[in-house]
Amino acid sequence: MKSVSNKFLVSAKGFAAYFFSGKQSVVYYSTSVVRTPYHVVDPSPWPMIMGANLWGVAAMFICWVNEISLDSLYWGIPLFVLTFYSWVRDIINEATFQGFHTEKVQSGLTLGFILFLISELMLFFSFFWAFFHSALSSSVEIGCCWPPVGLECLDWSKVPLHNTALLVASSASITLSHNYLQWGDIWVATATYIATLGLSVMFIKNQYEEYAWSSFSISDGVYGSCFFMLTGLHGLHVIGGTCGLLFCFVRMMLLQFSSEHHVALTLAIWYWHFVDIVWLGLFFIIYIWGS
Amino acid sequence: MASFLGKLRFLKSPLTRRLATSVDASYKDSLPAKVSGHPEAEIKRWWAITLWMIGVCAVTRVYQMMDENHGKRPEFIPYQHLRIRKKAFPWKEGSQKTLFWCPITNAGSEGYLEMTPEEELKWGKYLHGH
Repeated sequence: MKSVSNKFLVSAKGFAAYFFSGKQSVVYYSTSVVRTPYHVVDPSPWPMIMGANLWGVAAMFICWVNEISLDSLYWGIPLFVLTFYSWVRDIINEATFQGFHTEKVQSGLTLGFILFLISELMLFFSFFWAFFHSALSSSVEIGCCWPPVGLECLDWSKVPLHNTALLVASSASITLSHNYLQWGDIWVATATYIATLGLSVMFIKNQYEEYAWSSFSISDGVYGSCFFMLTGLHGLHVIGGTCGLLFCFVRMMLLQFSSEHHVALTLAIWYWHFVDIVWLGLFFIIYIWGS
Repeated sequence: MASFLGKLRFLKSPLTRRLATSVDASYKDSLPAKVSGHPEAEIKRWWAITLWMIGVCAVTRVYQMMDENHGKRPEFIPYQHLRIRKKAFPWKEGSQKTLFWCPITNAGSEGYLEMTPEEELKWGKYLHGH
């Protein structure tokens, strides 16, 4: 019992020293030297704070939609930015500067990311299901046909086709950039990376223009709901993917990636390919088949 | 100010290293195991795909711009299943206007709404012709 309580006090002291000093503290308990390739992470307050923070962000959204006062919840956004920055900084320190990310750790991170991508796929799958539910057996309220009566669909050969070309081109150029990084030529990798970012910004702008001029909205029956839920969610994923790529671009410029070890960049590129594939599904199912 | 500039010194080594010559082209010594056996062929292939796709983008962009008809207003028929307004959106004029509101192509539940002066400045020229 005595040894257990000592360990608790010592680790709590380490935790407090970490939290209040803002840097990695020396942990005082006498463990053996780490002999495994796995990374046993030091105690960190960020996951707990992030959990509480995300609750606050969710509460903020609910209050905003139901027109309840947000005065007590504004701490959510700055705390999110600070926590996210601190957590990511710690991971980068552990990986790039302290060398904890062995092959085993890299493969673990990759597996975790694959599971995350599968969960995102399930999210889109559920909205596609909702679309097919309404489109395959159209109810009498919308005129027993799809698209519903009175709704002017968008021409798939105009804006959506251009968007498809933009995303496919950006997937190709990011692959090219990745190959150049692995080959060792960082200058061409940078140039093709900037082309990728440019193409994705063009996609976002084009999609925004389409939204701004669309003759139907999210409150135009089940077609509007399905369409804007799917394309809107996809648009948010494109914006998130672009932010991820931009972040990895900055890290690449700071030479934190080597030609063999660049897990964050690989995962960001996989996310981008995922976004591209979801768009192809959207294009063929919603825009072409659904009109 | 001095401490802020001092913190920027972490940029010094990446920048000076980048300005040095890039990796020597004898890549065969340092070829990572993950890259395929013929990197030049693979890179040539991806260049071809990328450049062709950028060409396709240019073509689709021109085709998209050919048919841009911003002033057209669809005929308004008061359908029950469209323009549903059961709950107001949580922004100003949320009872009528959606998020990406276009006063030319979007109608309220009873018909097209009058444009406010700000909307008139931005959208008026499309509706009344150039």
